[in-house]
Amino acid sequence: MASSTTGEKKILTLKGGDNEEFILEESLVLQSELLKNMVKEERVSSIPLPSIKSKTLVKIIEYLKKHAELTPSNKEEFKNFEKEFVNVVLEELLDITVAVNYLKINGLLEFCCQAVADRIKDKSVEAVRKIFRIESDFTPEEESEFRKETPEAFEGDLDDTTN
Amino acid sequence: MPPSKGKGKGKKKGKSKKTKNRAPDATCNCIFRREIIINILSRLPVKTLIQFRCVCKPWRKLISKPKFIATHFRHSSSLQPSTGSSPVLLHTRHLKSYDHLLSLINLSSESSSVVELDNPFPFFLQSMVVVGSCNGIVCLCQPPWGDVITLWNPAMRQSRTVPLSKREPIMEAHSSVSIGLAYDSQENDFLVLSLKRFGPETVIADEVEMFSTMSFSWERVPNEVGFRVLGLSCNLIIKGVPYWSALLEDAYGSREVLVCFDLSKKVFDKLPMPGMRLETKGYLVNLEDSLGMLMWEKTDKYNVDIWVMDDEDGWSKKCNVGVLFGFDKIIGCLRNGNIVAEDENGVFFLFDPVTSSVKAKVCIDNANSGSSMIFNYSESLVLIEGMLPVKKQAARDKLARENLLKCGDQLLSFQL
Repeated sequence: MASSTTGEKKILTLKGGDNEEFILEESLVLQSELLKNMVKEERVSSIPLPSIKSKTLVKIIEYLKKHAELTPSNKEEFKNFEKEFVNVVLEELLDITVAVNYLKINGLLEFCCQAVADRIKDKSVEAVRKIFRIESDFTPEEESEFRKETPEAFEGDLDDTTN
Repeated sequence: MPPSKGKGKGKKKGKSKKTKNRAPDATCNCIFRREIIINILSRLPVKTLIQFRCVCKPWRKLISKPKFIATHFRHSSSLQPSTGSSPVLLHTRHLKSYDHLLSLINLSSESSSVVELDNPFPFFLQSMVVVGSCNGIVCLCQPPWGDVITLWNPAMRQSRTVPLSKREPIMEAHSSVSIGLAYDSQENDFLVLSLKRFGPETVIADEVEMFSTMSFSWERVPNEVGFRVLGLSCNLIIKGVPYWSALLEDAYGSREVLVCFDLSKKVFDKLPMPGMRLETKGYLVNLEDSLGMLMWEKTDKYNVDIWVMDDEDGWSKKCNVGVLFGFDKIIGCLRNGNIVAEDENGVFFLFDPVTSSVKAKVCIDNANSGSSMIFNYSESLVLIEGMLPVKKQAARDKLARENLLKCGDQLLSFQL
């Protein structure tokens, strides 16, 4: 944090997965525990994040900027921004959630996980397997037992894995 | 993650970004990291989680783990605005059959709902008291002797009864038994407290016994404060701690106090009561997981005082609320401080004391007006050993009786 107390603003470059570069103030990335530790320990000026798609990074930087501007007076506006922020297709929301978890941006992580939970809570077991790319490891006997026990778990929007 | 790793990743960029981002986890046959899966699943309703047990073996295992159950309850009971207002448990008597109905009632400005639950309590017993709920477990019992103690997880639809203590109340000596429920989160132990009261003409302190779901046995608890509780169950449970209003006789004379159960020491503590006159009515409530009290004049149906208890300063009046409509009965309040009241037509109102407005209105069908009580409840996946699925039988019997009543009505109108 010592760097942020010196008057001038430090600049940092983040490199997304497709090599796209994002130049932003160092103070912004301090919201990420991962990047904060990197900046503090190594005084780097450029951080490669190959595992994060540029599209995802754009979204996250957008959030960091908005969050940094948050004051008690624009709380409502920020809430609306948050709502819009997670209003993307489910696959993109999961990409964001995975990246936020990696970057350790705690407040946003909580919010993203809640958003994913809200989106999947009425989905069928089959749809959830598709979304999380899970192969069932139950035997066909166990599987048919479940279908008998909790038929409602296998009903619902089977193919609708995007929303 | 240390920075050197980040650099290393930079050199290898473009090689296999997908697999690195979503490395398969040995403990989960899924490309997402286990911590993310836990974070997402622990925010789902119990109903959904019961179904998602069928997704794969690792999920099934995870959903039954005590640590996951605790994380899930922390989310389900959190007061965060993002999760919306939490439902409360509603106890009413049926308008005609006078059956005990237990429902989950959701009062919010967006949508209000009432969902009736399958009551595990034997329907043929006329009297039933809802003791309260902690950590997703609801306790029911039969007054006045505090028997048929039933521990019930409504979300998991499972319940069991608690064996009775060998020291049964003595009909001539005791007048009734008051039951309380506590939860010791350190030991993951649900405790049922049984307070045997002597006749109202005596000043003998209550005899206390405690049942632990861990040891599955009863033991005596000393009543060093020397109190006598007033109700047939604890008045309130906050974060696993039950509170009773009680009478105490000591050198200062006879007075009303509050007693609560100290979970770490397993003893009772006494707390002061706010000063109340005979004309006022008081109602103990949970306000953002602190002890609070709603107080109003018996003759004034338009003003309610909200008092809060502070460990250091004791009781203080937080605010006065001018309720726009005249209420017939104050039912209680939600943990966020919104007051629930009932009017003379049996309609429930949710009143926001901050904005002084009615946030939600809901009509409770088939409820005997004036019989309603609400209890804080947050759902959990917790099960107690020996719990069995709640039989649907009770619901079927209820339907049969309702039909019978309908028949009776038709017959009556036919005769007229």
